[in-house]
Order: sequence, then structure tokens, then C-alpha cells
Amino acid sequence: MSEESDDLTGSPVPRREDEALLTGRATYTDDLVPPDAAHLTFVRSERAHADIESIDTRAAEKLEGVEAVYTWPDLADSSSPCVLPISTGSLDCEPPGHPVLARDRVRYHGQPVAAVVAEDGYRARDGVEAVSVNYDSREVVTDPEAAREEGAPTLFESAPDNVAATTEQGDLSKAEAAIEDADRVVSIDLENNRLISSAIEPRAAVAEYDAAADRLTVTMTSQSPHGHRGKLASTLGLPESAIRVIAPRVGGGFGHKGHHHPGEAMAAWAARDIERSVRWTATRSANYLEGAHARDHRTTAHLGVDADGTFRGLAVETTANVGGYGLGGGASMPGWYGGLLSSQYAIPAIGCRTRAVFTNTAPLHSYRGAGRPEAIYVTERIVDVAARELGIDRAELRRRNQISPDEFPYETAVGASYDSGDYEPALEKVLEAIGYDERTEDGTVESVESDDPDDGRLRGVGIACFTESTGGGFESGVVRVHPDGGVTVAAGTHSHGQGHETTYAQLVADELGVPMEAIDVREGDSDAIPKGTGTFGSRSTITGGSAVVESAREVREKAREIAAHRLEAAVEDVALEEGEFRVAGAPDRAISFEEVAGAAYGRGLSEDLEPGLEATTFYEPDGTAYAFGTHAALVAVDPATGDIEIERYVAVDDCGEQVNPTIVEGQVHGGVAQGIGQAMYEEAVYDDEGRLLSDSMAEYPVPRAEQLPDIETETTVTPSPRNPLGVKGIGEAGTIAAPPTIVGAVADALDVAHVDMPLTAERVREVLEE
Amino acid sequence: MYPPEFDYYRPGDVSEAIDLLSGGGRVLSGGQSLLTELKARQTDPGRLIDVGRLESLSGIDAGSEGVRIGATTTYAECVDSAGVREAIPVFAAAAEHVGDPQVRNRGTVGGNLAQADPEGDLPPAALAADATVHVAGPDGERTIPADDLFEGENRTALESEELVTELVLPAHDAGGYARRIHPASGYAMVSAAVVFDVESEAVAGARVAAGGAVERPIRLAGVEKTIEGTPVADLAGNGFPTEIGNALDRAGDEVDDELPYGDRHASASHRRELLPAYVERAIENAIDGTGSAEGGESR
Repeated sequence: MSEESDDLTGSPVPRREDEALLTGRATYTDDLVPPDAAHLTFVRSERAHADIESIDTRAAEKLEGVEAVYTWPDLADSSSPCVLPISTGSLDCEPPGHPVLARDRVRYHGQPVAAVVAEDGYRARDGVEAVSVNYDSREVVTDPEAAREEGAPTLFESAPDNVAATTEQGDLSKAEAAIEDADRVVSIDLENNRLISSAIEPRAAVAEYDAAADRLTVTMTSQSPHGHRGKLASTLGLPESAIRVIAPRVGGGFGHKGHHHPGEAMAAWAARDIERSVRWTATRSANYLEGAHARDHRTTAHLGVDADGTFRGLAVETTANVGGYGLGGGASMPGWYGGLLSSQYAIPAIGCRTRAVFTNTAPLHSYRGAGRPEAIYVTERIVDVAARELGIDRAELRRRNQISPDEFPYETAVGASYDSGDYEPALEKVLEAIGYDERTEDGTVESVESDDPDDGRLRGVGIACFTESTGGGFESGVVRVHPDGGVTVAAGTHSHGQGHETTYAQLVADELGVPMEAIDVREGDSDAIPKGTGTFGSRSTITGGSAVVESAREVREKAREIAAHRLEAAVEDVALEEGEFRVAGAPDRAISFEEVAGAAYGRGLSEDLEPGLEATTFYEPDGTAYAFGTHAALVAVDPATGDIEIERYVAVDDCGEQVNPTIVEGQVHGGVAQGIGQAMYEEAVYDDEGRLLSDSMAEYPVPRAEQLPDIETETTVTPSPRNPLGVKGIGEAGTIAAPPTIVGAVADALDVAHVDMPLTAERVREVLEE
Repeated sequence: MYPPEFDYYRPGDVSEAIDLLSGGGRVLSGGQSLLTELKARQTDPGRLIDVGRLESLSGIDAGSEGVRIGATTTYAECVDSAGVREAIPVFAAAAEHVGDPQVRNRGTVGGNLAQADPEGDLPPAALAADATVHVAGPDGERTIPADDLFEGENRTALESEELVTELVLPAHDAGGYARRIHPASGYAMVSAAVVFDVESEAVAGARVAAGGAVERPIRLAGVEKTIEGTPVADLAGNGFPTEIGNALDRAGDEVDDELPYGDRHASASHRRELLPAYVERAIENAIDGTGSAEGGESR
């Protein structure tokens, strides 16, 4: 990255996309109404586990305005498989994938059973109410540990004990031996509560079928247009080239718009069947019922630690509830969660066994962090417990075990290769900011900000260190210069809050010496953009950013050659300065970028240059970039009410070089908000019959602004050597760090080793009464 | 979220509204509860009688003796009314906690009381403020004191063909409201409203009501009796007199005869345990003269 101070890269440029988003002028999927559009709605299972005896659609079909009512036999009669693809590679069984409509059995409350297509949403909903389904109920199991017990109801024949996969990472026997060898064994049992993605915009799709061309265009809420194209092709039995996926403005993703659900598949299938456009928008409740849900681990961990605080070994056994079907990679995802168990510490032996278990709940998949928050939570919680048992300060215990900067690249005992890191400065920065040194004898902290520390409330401080694996896979990036010098930048990523229109323009503007205003950033069209991977896993700046920068550099080199030819100078004597190509030592000999752009498409090219001025890069990083940081919080707990106030929250993050510090800060804020949501409020709850109780926002507590503290952010900068920008991802840091930070602070306030999330007032009161 | 089909009526005056109601259907005022139920298809009344634009039902008339508030007056209008804030601070404070700005600009006080949500902000405030509800029906007009209005979860003394026309609330010297926000719905998981006059620098005519922990707002006679006659100065310092502290501790026992109300976010017994803390905060808010608001919210 260039050191020049007038670079756009690295400066807090305001987000270019915000004006349209904030004034309501941006177009989302549900805003699109093709003139021939019909409306799709689902009949969803009222049962959690049942055989379908019969479905009577006759009354619905007779309703005015109802175009079609579909059940599984309609799909089975078509040439399409109509089963959502499942990654079985790392599973111990081969369960069938999720059928678009239930085949003969439902496995979770809310599973789509029939589909109604009607003239409008009112008629479709009337149609749904007119469909009657006869069920023969089966025994229900929603708890993953109960599902493994003998005699538990079985969801799939190929997994008689409901275990989808047992996976081992690291070396469990080595870890257990190391623990046995240590001076002390510290143990913890914990639950990582089940969450539901709550993007502002629910999932939606508009499917348009061009019968003459036999091509399908699906406009949808996608984080990964090319990924969804491939999944739709699989579900519909069509070549990828016959499908165009467009992702317009998307109101938040968090993972659940990166994988395949029945809605978009059914809309696409129906559009082909009736040869008219079909719109579908999930209601909030449908989104909650269908998932994907996330987290939901029951974990036991043991840490071997010597009297001086040295970590010797960490052994973790976890049971993950993957729900009623494997959805894409959802069932195998928990199997690699252990990769981050080393957090920031040199732990010589780590072993992790994960059991992914099917239950009668919505399918599980990725949600902001996707395994990383679960792993870091285990490590950071057990480190706190170790500090408490050893009588060593929590910050000091972390400091003693942190991997030192000269050990990078560092191979952890679970096989992660950390690229770079300098952990202690972030820890010290956070301690200083939160006033950790003011810790008093009795273990409480003199609150810096509280105006009334003698108000009878219990105060606690929490700190959590973390690492985060960011930026896997390849990405496409195109830089296309038009004859007038305008630039179109395209990437296979998709921005639904991340600000790529701003950051990619900053990066390319610096490479080409053109103003940001001359650059148009395009994403979200599988026809217009070369095959890409999408936006998830804190990957876009690393992969998409690097891809567009490499393309820009290629374009700049060609432009320089064109300029040299026009200026009759040697290429090596020509340099791009202040928006024009100049000959060294002859300042009056110059040609503007616009003129070069025009020349690229006109006469006057040298014979050895082809016309055109654009480049396409498929970039794949040299390895994973590991972001890191330390967060801290001060809490005050009211013993009379159980209320927790987060008096201060300080986040120190290191995501390497920052393209736009304001956007980095925004990502930290959003992640911390969601992490606090998990720690204090959110939990998806099923009743004994497998009915989802938290099926609306009135039941599922996403934190409101007034329930969140001011989030103070600081950063350190440790560049990654594994990509040309030196960047690391930042998207998921907050959801990883906030849960152990808040739980640690509340446990400190209550003077207990551990409290499970969510930290409701009632739970706090129960702990206080014990 | 598509409601079932319904016929929509917009009567020109109250008597036409009553006539229409006799033919069945539900009253639409601000629609902040009813539309949600309709869209979720939890109700299918067939007919909606929209009284929201009847000017005769809207408006605030504040005098020294008290305030008349039209049934279709919005929460926001109550919050913004200097007359309401001065004469019945407990009501303004409670109204300020309802929903969000959009809800407060649409939702109406008459609709709120008729809805009688166990976690509503206005019912305990109306009860503590000794409101009288004026009602029109096929047999003419009648009044219902707040003490007789609330019968249970979403149940009131109103007949199905009756319409709330206005509330009349006597002025009081001090009023305070405090609530624990429901983490998911934003409703009042637990609430307390306190109203009293000050005579010879002591509490007089105390009325204390609690909501959220039981199916309907309920007066806490024991707390009322204990604070009655207490010098205001004794309530202003740090920590209440022992006797009052003890009465607060028994606040939960005072709702023993009522049907408990709770959910998986906060059980009924947990809500009962919270009552003393919120009654205490409501008293503090009454003394502070803040009426409420920020002071009463869960910290």
C-alpha cells in the first residue's frame, strides 16, 4: 500500500451508497413487480415431526385469483430434482437434502409443505388457509443430546443415532495427555445459545422466465449471486448458463442469504411451470421458522494449566444441533469450528471432537462468525475460569500465554496457520482504555464513567482476546476503462452493508489516478460479472479488493504503454502522476488518463498492443489472514432487578491495513451489537412439541439501540503478508468478541465462574439467589 | 402479512359508529394493535368501524380540576401536551413509553385502554390516576371508573357494541411511572404507577397501581396505605423509611389473588419479584417531579 498522504485508500471517505439507502431510493427485491407477476406463499408444517397422510388442495384451487397449488408430487413429476443440494462429503451418513416441498414427512415446524401461487399476496394467503393437511405425528426431539440417546426418534435412516458427523480436529489424545501432565485441570460446561439471523430485509425472490430463450432470471436477496446460480441449477436440473441471478440492494445478510432455501427455488420452478413471473417474499415469521438458525452448541472443555499459568493442553467436546435437514454445508459446518480454539495463545496440544446432530428444529447454517464465535467463546471462558481458580489476574494470564510477534507464521495445535499478529499491544490498549489498572483488591473495578458507583449495583469487568480466520477462496475482479476515461469496476462479491461501492472505488482510484466519481462499482449480476464466490466469512476486501487492485494494476500498465507510444517515450520513462502520464524529466510532455482511454479504443495504438483497456483477475490469497483484537466491558448489575447495564464497551481490533477506517468502525459496531444480542437477549426456543416459540420479533429479542452501549473503538495495524493489500477481514470480529467479553464481565460482577447466555434478568436473579 | 377480507366503514359521528357496531365488527382507531392482529390473521372481524377521524373524539381539554382526553387522541399528543404533563404527569410519562415514535403518532389512548394489554403502559397509569372512562353505546352514554374497567387479559367492562369516547382524569400534585421494558416486544414487562397529592407537605390520596405481573393492572392497597400521610421529605432522601420498605417488599403478595402473567422471557414469579423495585422507582419519579420517563426506564 502506498504511503502517500493524499491516497484515498486508508482515509475515512463517506460511504457513497448511503444517500440512496437512507432516503429510500434504493431498489430491493420486493420493490420489483413485473407486469405479469404472480405471488407465491407457502403452506408450512404446524408439526415438528410427522408423516404427511394427505394434502387436500381442492378448495384452494377453486378460489378466485389462485393460479396454482403445488405439492411434492407436482415437483416429482417435473424434470427438476427439487431437492436443495447438501454437502455430504464430510458427513458420516448420506441423508437426503431438503426437499423444496415436504415429500412424505416433515422434520421441523415451519417446513414448507405446499405452495400457492396467486394473483396477489391476499389471494395467495387465502389459498394457504384453504389447504388442509392431514398429519400422523411422530415423536419429537429438539435437544441434540437427547437425540443421541437410545430410543430417541430417528430423523433419517442413514443416521440411526441422529449423528450427522463426528469430527476430530487437532489431536484429542495428545491434548488429554498434556492436560493430565499439567499442574491443574480447569473445566467448564457451557451452552452457546441458538440464534436466528435478523436481517432487516427478509429473504425474497422474483423469478422471470423467458420461454422463447429458455432462460430464467432470478432476482433475489443473495450474498453470493454465482453461488446461488449454481445451487439453483442443481435444484432445478438446469445448466448454470440457463440461469441469471441478480442481487439488487440487499438489506443485510449475516450468512442466511448465502445459502439455498426453498423460497427462491420454488419461485423459479413455478415461473417455468406457469410461464409467468413469480414473486416471493418471506414474512418475518417464515424467515424465523425456516432459519437457518445458528450456533446451538453444548460443550465441555478441559484446560491443562501449570501453576505459573502456562497453558499445556485444551480438550473440547461439543454437540451441535444442526436441525431437521442438512442445508448445503450446514450439517458439516460445526465439524471445522475447532480451528480457532487456540485463540491468541500458544497451547501445545489441542483436541476437539464435534458431534453434529439432527433434531426436529430448523436447519442450522452460518450466521456472522459461523463457528468462530463458538470456538473463541469456549477458549475465552475457560481462560477466565482458569484465572479465577489459579488466582492470576485475567489479563496477566492471557499476556503470559499470548503468541509472541516473532513466532509468526504460527502453526496452532489445531492446524491453523496464523499469518501475522502482535497481540499484546491490543490487549494493553484495551486495558488502558477501560481503566483496568484501577482494579481494586476485592476484584471489582472502580468504574471510570459511572457517576454513582455506590448505587448498590455490582460491578464487573470482562476482557476477551480473539483471532478470526478471514478471506478464503477466489474472487473475480474486473476493471474496465471506457473511451471517455470513466471506469467500471466489477467483482463477484456482493455488498449488503459492507460498503464495497466506496472501498473498491477508493482502491481503484488510487491505482489509476482517477477521481472516485469516475468509478462505478458493480456487483450482483451473474451474467455481467465473471464467476465469483460472494460475500461471507469476512472475505470481500481481501479477495475482491485484491482482485480489483490487480486488475487495476494491469490496466495501468497497459495505459502506460499506450501513453509511452503516444508520447514517443520509453515505457520505463513514463509515470502516472496526478491523473496524467508524464515523461520523466520533461514535465510538459504529458497525456491525460482520458486521452489514453480514448486512444485505447481508437487509432494510434502501437502495433503490438490490442485495442481495449480492461482486465479481469481471478485472485486467490496465499492463505488465510487472521485478524485479531481484544475487547473489554464494564457492567453494573442491579441485584434487585437483575438488570445489566453495560457502562462501557471498548473494542480494539486489528484487521491489518484499513481501506476505510469509518467502514471498519461500522463493521465493529454492527458485530458488537449482534454479539451483545447473543450475550444478553437472543435465543431461539422450541417447546416440547417442537413448535418454535420465538417466531416473531415480538418474541425474539434483537437488541434495540437503547439496549446497546456506546461502543468505543480503537485499532492496531498488523498487515497480512498473504495478500497484496495487507488487509484482514473485520466483518465478524464483534460477534466473536462480544459474547465472552460480556459474559466475563457479568460473571465477574456476580463473582461466579460462569453464567450461560442469554443473560436475562431472571437468570441473573437466579444466580444471585443461589 | 396479508389481512383477511373485511368491509370498511367510516362513520360520520358517534351515533353512526354505534349503529354500525351493533352489526358486528371491531373498532379501528389508531390501528396499532388491531392491524397487527389482522395481518397475522389472528382476528377475522369481517367489518372494521374506523373512528380514527372523528374529530369529536379527539383532543385534550386541560383545566385546573383535571383533563379530558378524547379517545382518539394519540400518545404523542398527550406527551406533547403541557396540560397533561402538568396536571397528570403519570399519564404523560406512561404515554411516552409506548412503542416508538411511529406508534405514538398513530396509537390512541382510548384504543389502548380498550385493548387492555396486560403489558400496556397506559392501563396502570389510568388506574393510578383514577381515570373515568366515558363510553357510548346503544343505550346511551355511561361512565366506567378505571377501578372497574379492567377485568383481565384483553378484557374490560366494555360491551362489544360500546365505544370509548373520552377519559377524564383529575389533576394531581405528583405522579410517577416506572417500567421494565420487555426485551423482545418493548412492552412493559413490569410497571408501576404512583399518584398522590401533597397536603401539609405529606402524601395524601395516594393511588398506586402495578402492571405486567398479573393479567390486569391492579392497585396495591398496602403500599398506598403505608405511604399515605408520609412526609414527602421522607420519600425524597436515599432510602425509604423501614415501614415503607417493608410494604414495598410485600407488593408481590398484594397481587396474590390475581391471575399471574408471565412468559418465557420473564416468568410471572420473576415479574412479581421485580414489583418492589419498580414501585420504588415510580415513587422516586413522582417525588423528583420527573413524572417518569428516562428515570423510570430500566437502566
